[in-house]
Amino acid sequence: MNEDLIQQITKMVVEKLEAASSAQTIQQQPTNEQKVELFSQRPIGQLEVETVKKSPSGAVVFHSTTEGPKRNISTVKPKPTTAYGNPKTKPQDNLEEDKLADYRKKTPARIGVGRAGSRPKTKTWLQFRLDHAAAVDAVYGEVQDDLLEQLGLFQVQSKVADKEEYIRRPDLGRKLSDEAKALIQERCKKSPVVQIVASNGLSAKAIEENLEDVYLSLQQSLNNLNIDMGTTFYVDKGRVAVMDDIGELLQPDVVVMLIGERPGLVSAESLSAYICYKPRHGTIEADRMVISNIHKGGIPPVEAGAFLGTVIQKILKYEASGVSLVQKEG
Amino acid sequence: MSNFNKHETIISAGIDIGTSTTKLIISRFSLRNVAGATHVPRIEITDKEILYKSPVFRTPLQDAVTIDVAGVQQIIRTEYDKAGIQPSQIETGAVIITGETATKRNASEMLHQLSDEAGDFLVATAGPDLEGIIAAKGSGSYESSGKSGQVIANIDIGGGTANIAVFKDKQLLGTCTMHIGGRLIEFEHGKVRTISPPVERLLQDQGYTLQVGDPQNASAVSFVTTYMAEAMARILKKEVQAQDRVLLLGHEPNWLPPIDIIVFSGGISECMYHHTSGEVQIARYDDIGMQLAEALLQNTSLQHFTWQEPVETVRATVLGAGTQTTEISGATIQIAPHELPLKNIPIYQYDFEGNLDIGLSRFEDAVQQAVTLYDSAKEGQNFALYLSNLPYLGFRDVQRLAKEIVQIMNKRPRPEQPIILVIQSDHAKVIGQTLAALQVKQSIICIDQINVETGDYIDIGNALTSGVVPVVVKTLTFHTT
Amino acid sequence: MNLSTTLGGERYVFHDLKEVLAKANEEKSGDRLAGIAAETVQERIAAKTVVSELLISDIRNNPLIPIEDDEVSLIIENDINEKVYSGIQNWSIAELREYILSNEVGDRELKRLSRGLTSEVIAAVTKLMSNLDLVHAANKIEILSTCNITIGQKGTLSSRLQPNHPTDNIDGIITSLKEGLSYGIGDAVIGINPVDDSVESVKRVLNATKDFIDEWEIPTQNCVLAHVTTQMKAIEQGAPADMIFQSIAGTEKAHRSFGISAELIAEAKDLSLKMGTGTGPQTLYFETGQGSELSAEAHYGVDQVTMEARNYGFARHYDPYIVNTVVGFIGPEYLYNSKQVIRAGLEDHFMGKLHGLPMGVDICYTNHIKADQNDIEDLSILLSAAGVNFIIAAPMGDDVMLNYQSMSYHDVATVLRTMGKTPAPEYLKWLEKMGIYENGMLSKYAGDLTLFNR
Repeated sequence: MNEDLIQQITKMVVEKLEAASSAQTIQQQPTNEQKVELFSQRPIGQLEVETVKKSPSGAVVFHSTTEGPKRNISTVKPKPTTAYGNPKTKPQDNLEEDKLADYRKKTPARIGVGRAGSRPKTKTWLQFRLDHAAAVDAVYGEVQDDLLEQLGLFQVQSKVADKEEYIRRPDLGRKLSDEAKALIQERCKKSPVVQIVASNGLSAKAIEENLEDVYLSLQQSLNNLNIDMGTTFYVDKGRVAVMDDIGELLQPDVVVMLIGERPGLVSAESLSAYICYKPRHGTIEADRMVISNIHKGGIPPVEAGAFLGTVIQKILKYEASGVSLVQKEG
Repeated sequence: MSNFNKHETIISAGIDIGTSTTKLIISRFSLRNVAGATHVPRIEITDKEILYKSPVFRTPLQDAVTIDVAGVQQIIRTEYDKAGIQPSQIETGAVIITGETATKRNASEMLHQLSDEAGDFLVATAGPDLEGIIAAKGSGSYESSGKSGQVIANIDIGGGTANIAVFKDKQLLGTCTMHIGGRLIEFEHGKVRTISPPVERLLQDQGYTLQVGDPQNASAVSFVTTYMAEAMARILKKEVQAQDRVLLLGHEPNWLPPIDIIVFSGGISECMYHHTSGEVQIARYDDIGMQLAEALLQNTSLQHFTWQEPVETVRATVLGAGTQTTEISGATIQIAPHELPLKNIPIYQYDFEGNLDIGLSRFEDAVQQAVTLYDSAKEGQNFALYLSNLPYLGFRDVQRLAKEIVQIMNKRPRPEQPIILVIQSDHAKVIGQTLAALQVKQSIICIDQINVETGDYIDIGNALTSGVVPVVVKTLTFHTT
Repeated sequence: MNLSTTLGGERYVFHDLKEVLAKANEEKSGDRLAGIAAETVQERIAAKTVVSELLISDIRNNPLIPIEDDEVSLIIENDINEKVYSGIQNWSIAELREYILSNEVGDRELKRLSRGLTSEVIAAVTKLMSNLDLVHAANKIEILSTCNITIGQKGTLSSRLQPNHPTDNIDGIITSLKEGLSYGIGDAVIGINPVDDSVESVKRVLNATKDFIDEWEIPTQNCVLAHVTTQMKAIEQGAPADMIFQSIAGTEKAHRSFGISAELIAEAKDLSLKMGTGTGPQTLYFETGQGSELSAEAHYGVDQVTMEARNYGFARHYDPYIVNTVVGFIGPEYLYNSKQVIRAGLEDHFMGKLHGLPMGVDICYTNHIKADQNDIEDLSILLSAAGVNFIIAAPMGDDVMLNYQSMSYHDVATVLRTMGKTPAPEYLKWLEKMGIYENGMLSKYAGDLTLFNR
């Protein structure tokens, strides 16, 4: 039996258990029912980018020729506001459960979980183990080729041979293999203003879940701002500083690296965008900037992509990133 | 270009024009990016500092039904001077006309005048529900409801009304407004000078007689205050009796869980706690205020609840208006700066119920209803579309949504008006950019992370250095669900 | 100084002290990453053999990093008590091990011995000790320390309550804090790692935690683990901090990359004594962890156990209230799996104790290291047996800010119960007053955060 399937089923069981113990809550929020969709997690649609004419304010139209499959439903947590207004949650009869539900809204931490003696309840324990399992699997997972094909990205390797070496030798993940260098030289536009690179990093799942939306939204944002883009590609088993090798090869003004973060239990699919102005060999870490926590439960990928465009605009204006940008900005 | 890392401050004014008193507060808000350097920024108000508190003035009235506008303006001008503030410095805040003052003949005329006079900031009228909510925020009840986990009722009693707002864990559970207040019977030279209509009806129902000119110590007077305290206890326990309805203004109590803690704020609470005794003596002996306070303190049914002293008494509402009405939008938004500030924009909420397909299939009808609701005469009253409970959106979903929005907005009576969108979830920038990519002709105001609903009005202030906009949400009526 | 040996017919020659000390380490991926680990298991044992025959004076007289180049070396050197040293300088490291383990040697003797040992010598003897040696020897030492309350007594195990929140939301922090208190956690410190390392943010969290501690009269201490300079500014601006925290390392160069120096730590200590809210005398809190010097490219080719020992040599100079290693946080390139994490945890705890430090451990792991909750539960029992002063706990062990797993509130309560220990005496009294503890264990009301509703 496929491991993913086991994981999904375990998750369903745990959620059922939860649903049973707080049936009232569920009844009032019927949309929760749709959370689990087992078999079509990844978009399969082919997305064509039809370039009309280069002109400011977004003359580029993105057409989708096929509809993507339905995504998991997930409510993006609204910012806690001090809005006065109507009650946003309906009063519940079960005051005890209600009390804990109120607390759970305050933090994503696992609070109000109860105990068996001094040990966690079985359900809580299994949920914890499941989340850890998802995180571990994200580290050792691979990005499927068809996602990269859909987005029109070619793939190169860092100097790392396999996942084990990737984990033990971060220095090798910071270098491109010789084959990679040749392929990049051959296929990429030279001296672009912005070079976008994707890498699985420590979470292949982060790329699978978020790359498409961040990338398309970023592309639209750069189009709107009339900022020139190079040929985007994917580095398998890369570390952030591999962007220095890329900077040397292609001489871009800005490199944006979309890379899977080290998975946490809250999310195993969180993506980071590292941005650096003219990364080259010898670039100091403080000049790289990062926007992290890009995933369904964090900053929505589409919104992150839109925001990245304006960050890049600012970096180009000040010709600096990271600490240097903060200094120049004053 | 927005600078998220700069510490910035904005000046807020709160002005409360109540049945018996008028007061003003100037405060300074500190705004900071609280998200940490490696995250998409998130700008919040992190500190509020009161710069100036005016004395408590008697509200200037021309006669029983007319506010003395010039008198109010004079107070505001003088107090701004004393605070060392120019009207042009004020970037946000609210004017609240409370209690029976709001029903005066020229209340809305005065609001317009104040809007020009008091600074280019945001002006709000208040319904009794909003008034109670704002008072609860100013008195500290709202804040303490977030700590105790218990159900707290804030009862703000001024000259004309008692505004009850019930909170638990910073969530509003319900409101209720009653004709209970200090000036419902007024005295002069030891004799009754005026009796308000609700009190007249109460006396009549209960078989008491009281007339102008009767002595101040008539037994009917003490009956009224004692009855008010009893009725208050019944309302709080939701044991409303038929004969209490005469004291209800609007709907019956609508909260569900029982109240644990009660907090009195407003002028009557000042008579109980004497917070401002060092200042001007505001407790007067020419109305039933003192007696009412005494009756509430003595009432045994009210002892059933835990009493909590408010942080602010008579200034609870003005403090709430000045420091608690402003919200800050999400940091990633799309706005056309030349269209701001926008004032009194009605909200039409469209709930996607977590499903884009179903949501979009009914989208157009819903927006037509908004036009019917707010612009039935097709005069071009614009509105803000509030998109709530959107599902998780992929890029293609955003494109579909944006296309629909453009089509629908072009069917408004005056399609050239700005497209104003308030998104519940963090999607304003990408939706705004996608609209821009569609080369829409209209200006776009697309903000997010503000909670509103149909029937609310919002004011959107000028963009701040960090790129966010201050928003004042005015909930005019309390919708029970 | 002899640096060679013959084992099983094979001759092993080591070039210098640095090399033999590195190769004598138990397997660590960090030493391998640095290119200094033993090539074979037999070479490792050969190195251990050579180390066992070195004299204490050999190690002191051949500094790995000269005192002229490094202020950490200088501090360690200057803090040695020459009387004690002269009595032991001719002991071999093997003799030192056997002295530490002998039945006649207890707390008093080890504390005296400690004054004559450089950090490098402590590291060297650690390399000769088995895991059980490390547990047994550490358990002889009782280190008490006092900030607002005293912790470290035999028979107690204290805990740091770590109610972190991904956006430093005060309500969120307080909620996790209430949950932790309801399990009896938090006598060592209530310590928050802030997302936002700004003075304003640190002040906010310090004020909120202090208010809560005061409101409920909790006999404990607060701390916000921002950069030392940020905390100092917050304190100067009136924020209530019972102690000042800083992550430290084993070399001056690594300290520079952390933005600290010996002088700065001394200033921090002065400031916390003058303007802090902690009663003291101890008002500093340090965190360490194997591999941080290599990560900062400031390790001078020295192995990570020796580097870690130098952290403690630096730390003891400032008489901190608490010190803990964050074992397992740094990542698999330094500690590859649970076996290496468990070994490092026991080494760090022993080395800290032998330096005379009030030593705690953040028993933890990240998600890209080969370890899970079972492994750190194992380590918690080992460390509890070794008499660790405190451990760190987060709700269900899941730190939603730092994205790693540590012990859970449940785990701490369970270790206490299983090992027959209690929280610190003053704190236990408060727990009993609150009804959270009864007869030395969790009461039926424990685990319910609504206890703290008023």
